[in-house]
Amino acid sequence: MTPADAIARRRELVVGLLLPLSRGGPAKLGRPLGRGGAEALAVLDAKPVDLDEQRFFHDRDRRAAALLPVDAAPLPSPDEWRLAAILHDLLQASNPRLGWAFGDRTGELLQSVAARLAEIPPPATLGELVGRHVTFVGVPRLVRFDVDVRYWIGERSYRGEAPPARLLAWPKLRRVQQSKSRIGAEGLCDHAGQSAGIAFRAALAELARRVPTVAPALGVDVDVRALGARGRRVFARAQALADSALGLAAPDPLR
Amino acid sequence: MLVRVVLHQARLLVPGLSLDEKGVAGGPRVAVLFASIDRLVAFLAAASQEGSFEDVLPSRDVAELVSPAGTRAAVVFADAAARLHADVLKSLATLVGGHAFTGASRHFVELRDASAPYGFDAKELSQAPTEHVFYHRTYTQGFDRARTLDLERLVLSLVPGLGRTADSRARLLLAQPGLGPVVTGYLARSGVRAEVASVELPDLGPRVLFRVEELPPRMTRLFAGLPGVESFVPDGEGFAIAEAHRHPVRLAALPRAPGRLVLVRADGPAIVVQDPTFVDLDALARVRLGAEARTGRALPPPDVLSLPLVLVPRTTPRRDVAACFVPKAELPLLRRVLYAKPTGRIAVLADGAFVVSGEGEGAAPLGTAFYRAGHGLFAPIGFDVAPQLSPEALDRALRLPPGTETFLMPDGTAVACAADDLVPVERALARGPAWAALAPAGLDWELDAPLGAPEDVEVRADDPGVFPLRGLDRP
Repeated sequence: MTPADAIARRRELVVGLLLPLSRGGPAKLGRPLGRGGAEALAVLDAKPVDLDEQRFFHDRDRRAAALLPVDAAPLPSPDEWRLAAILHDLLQASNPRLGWAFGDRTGELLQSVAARLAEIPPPATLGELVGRHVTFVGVPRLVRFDVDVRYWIGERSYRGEAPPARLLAWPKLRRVQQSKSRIGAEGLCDHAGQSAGIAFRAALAELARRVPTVAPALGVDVDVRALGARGRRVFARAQALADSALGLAAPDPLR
Repeated sequence: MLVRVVLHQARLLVPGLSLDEKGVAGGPRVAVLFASIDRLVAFLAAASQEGSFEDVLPSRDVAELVSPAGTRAAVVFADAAARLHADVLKSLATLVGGHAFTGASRHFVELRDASAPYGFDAKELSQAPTEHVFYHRTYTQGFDRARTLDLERLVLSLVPGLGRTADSRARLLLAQPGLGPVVTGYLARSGVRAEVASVELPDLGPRVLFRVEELPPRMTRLFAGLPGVESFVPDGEGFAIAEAHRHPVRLAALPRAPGRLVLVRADGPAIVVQDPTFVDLDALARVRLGAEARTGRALPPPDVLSLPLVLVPRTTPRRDVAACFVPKAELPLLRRVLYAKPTGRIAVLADGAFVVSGEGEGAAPLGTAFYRAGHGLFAPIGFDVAPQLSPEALDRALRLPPGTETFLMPDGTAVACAADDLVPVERALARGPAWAALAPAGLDWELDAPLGAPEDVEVRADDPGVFPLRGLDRP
């Protein structure tokens, strides 16, 4: 991957996933990054290159200021970029459109994610703890909306996409019934089978252990003793802010 | 004649005499007897130096006496406020050849002296049928009162003698009626603060009286020798004496009379002016000058009076360099100098630059140096501006509009530039690179938006593309 490609992929990642993680809204996933893509992102200069990336970085700064008295969050470390790429690939593994008739792309991708996750240590410094928190604070709020459509001669399921309009036409005549369901982060891959679902949950739990502040929201136990006194204080404050409008606890420095 | 009073003496012969707590004999009145009027005047002159007559001679009564033999004498009766006061009068009387007595109304015995510290008493009372009897060690003389003398009239009838010019610069000017407007205009034009009154004097007719608070010395000499104007120096409240004269009696010792002004002339009787009404000089002068201004018209200054403004070489050096003109060829060097010391203001012209330094700062040591000759005028170092005028006069001569800095060049030309064109050197030196704003509007708008409540992050099933896992874990 050339540096220009890497910059473009990083922008896709930031705009499509990391910025929605910070602000909410629909995420837009691209082609899985894999190990090569993650490494290409990790070696880039961490500074923002355009306005969208500036928004993402500014959100990080505001959330960091809500946690502890700092003006700016630490710039994303290479491991943080790797984690972002892993999350992207993990979510893409839950994409029903990834399936292939001649193989198990979901399983292959989940294996890749698990292998790469194992190479990333938990945060070793307070800066890494805060940096990962402000980047991945939205992970527990990942959802997918599925729609099951039943009509007079059959039924269809649409996962993460809207059913086509033709399928919903003449609802009374064709006795069309829609059943919408909200799938949380843990169950995003349950549709792909039991093994894929377990592997997805395991990978998500491993990811949560690399971002300790979001682990409780995902139902994952973490050893907070390893965070140290200041880390535990940040952890506790992050939990206190988990249900609030994150970042609003501190005044906007630019207002 | 007289006998000395001794200590613890029980009774005194002269009526009116009594012994005080120290045993000194004295009466309630003091009488000072003079053989002639001139001795009386000398006594008054000496007494006036001691203070006001009200203090020195309380309840005074000045009279001319005549003896049964027809000889005349002058006497001053006064209250004996204290023995010590009587002693002072005796010493003054002795000084001018008079005799001091004490008594009540008719009989007066000589005041005590060193030979009789407890005073005198009469050996026997005189039976002379006179109004007053004076007992002296050498004579006993009775006098009748010939007439009562007015002390003030007596003093003011004296002719003053020549004296030196007073240190005080306050003056009273008595002018003939025809000279009043002239003197008024002269004083007003000269900025002399004065008051003016129109007075009617006996034997003299109408006069204009000026009361000047502080007359300049040149005017003092002018008015002292100006026919038709008499100059007086105030001496005490309500009295004034002719310029360069002195009165035998200090006039300030005379009793004051509110609203009365006495002018003692050099060669005539004193003038008493009752209740002069003074008005401020400016009030009169303004009216007169205004009338003249309405009828007059401004004329251009005649050419025969004006001198061309030129630069003349100066022999002594000056160090107050306030500006410099740097020709165009030396501008790169000027830039290096100003980068080292970026102070002052600069105006860049086609053929060079003017650098004006601030107050107390030296100018750049380049080009032609200038000093500040006027408020907005600079002249080259080594030259003086001729004719030498004040800075205000130079500005007026050049008709410089406000906010203009004019530089007289050594070749005789003048260059002017607006003060606003002189910009601070610091501002002129800084030239930043071209730059563009980095989309600040959109960024601000986004950053001002609150983050809001936590929202779901919706994962959608986007198309991963063809062969999405190709090269997945390739390093």
